[in-house]
Amino acid sequence: MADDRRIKMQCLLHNRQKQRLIVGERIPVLADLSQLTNLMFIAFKDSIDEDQVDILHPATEVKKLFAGEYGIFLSSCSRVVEVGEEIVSATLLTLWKGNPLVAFIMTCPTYQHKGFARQCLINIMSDLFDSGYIYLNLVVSAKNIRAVTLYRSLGFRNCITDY
Amino acid sequence: MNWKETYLRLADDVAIKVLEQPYLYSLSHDELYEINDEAKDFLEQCDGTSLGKELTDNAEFVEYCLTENLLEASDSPSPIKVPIVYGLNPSLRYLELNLLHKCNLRCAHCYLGEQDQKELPLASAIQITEQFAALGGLRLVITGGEPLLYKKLPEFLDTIAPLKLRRVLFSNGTLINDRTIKELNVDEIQFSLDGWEEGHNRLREAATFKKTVDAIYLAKANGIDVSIATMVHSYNLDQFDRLQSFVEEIEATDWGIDIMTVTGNLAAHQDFAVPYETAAPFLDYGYGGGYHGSSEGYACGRHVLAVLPDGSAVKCTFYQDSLGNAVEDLKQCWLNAKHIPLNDLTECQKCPALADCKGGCRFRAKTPLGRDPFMCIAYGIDAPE
Repeated sequence: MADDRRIKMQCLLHNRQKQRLIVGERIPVLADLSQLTNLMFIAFKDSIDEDQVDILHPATEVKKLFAGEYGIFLSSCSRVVEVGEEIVSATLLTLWKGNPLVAFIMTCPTYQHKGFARQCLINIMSDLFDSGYIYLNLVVSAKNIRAVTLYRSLGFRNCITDY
Repeated sequence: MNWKETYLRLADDVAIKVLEQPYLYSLSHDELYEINDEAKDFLEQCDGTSLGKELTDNAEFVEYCLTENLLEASDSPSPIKVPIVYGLNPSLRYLELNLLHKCNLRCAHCYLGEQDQKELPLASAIQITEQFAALGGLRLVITGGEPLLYKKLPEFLDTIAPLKLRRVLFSNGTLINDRTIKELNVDEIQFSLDGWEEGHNRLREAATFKKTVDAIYLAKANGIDVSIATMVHSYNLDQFDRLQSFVEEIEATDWGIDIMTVTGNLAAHQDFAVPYETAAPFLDYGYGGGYHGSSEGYACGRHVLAVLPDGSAVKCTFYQDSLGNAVEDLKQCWLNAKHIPLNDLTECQKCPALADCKGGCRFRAKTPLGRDPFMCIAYGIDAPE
């Protein structure tokens, strides 16, 4: 039987030493909308998480993010990574129920396993802690074991905090 | 069906474990969920005798628990005793139970070295496991030697099945067949697979590859979760892509990649050992293994204990110093264990990777509070001399 569980994870932020900035790492801006749309399509298409986004309408997804429909877009705590002039990885946060939430995390398949997402997350967590946030939340598909492994290694735990 | 009009009960494979804080543990998914005190109080009442609307109005929480299969809803009362257990701080979450040292193989890298005939009596194995469950344990790792050589293994597994523990069997797979698989009442089997045929057989010093792969398929066909453990050695470096395809095909819950520690049989087979610099990139193939996280601020071993076939408890199987007799008092053995704060790793204090590597393996470190040279290389830090 397919494992369709969506795991809520939470990380208690702490004073963590910031990693070296990746070459090309920066904060996303509105002008990135088109590139982020392309990235969303190629990152999710045929992936284990394809059903987690509206893959046929990635532009709508990205616009909704910028428009705050998934919570206030925390652009200053989000990151994109550029190689040349191409955005190859993005970690995008919103504010959801008072806590930062990783709304989208995506890397171009040809640039996976280079540690971009990991290092961006570490830097983001450091920034969030400095800004006074206590927790960072995300939701991940249980079947994406590699993603779950990454998050656990960064201190994320399964958490049901809604009670 | 509206959950408010149904009788809510904790799912059969779920237990409340109050460790450092309250948790909900799903045995079948091996997931540990942090909950707060209010959620714990609510879940304690989910014993199948009350309607949802009588217990809570928190729809979001209940619906999440239902979709995660943590709660079950039925249209008639179905009473259960809600399993709840209170552990220690730090909690003992993982127990490695070495039933015997005997093995049917003579692997070139085996850390046990010369095998002896020691076996844990069945009554002792059960007694230790019951104590572990009472301390809030999560995963019982049943290992050896080769645990299928333990004659009373089926009886042991059936006896401990009602305890709210995830039973994980470590095996080389060569003794698993159509008959024996039916006797393995476990949640997960971790198979050692150390290469794609040639590399695996060379390390095993026997042509066992096909038997192991057949056993993996057999376990899957019988609804048992499968995980894989692979050692990086000099004769399998070109086989990881093929292994990866296989691991993905069988949907292994966990692929643990490790490097060799020169002890036991490996001392006489050092041609298998790989320089750390060569081995490090292969760790990226693996996944899983983090289980439920270690306590922040401590080195390895914060939640794990091993018991040897003579009943003595040790920090892990690499260590010989006994922490006491686990049959008599597992709790006291756990209280005797020393936990190393990361702040005590004096050589690592200024290292930017410390929060991620958490000090690595304390056995592999040259001194008890020194650096683990392999982790230094894996994280791109200059290794110690």
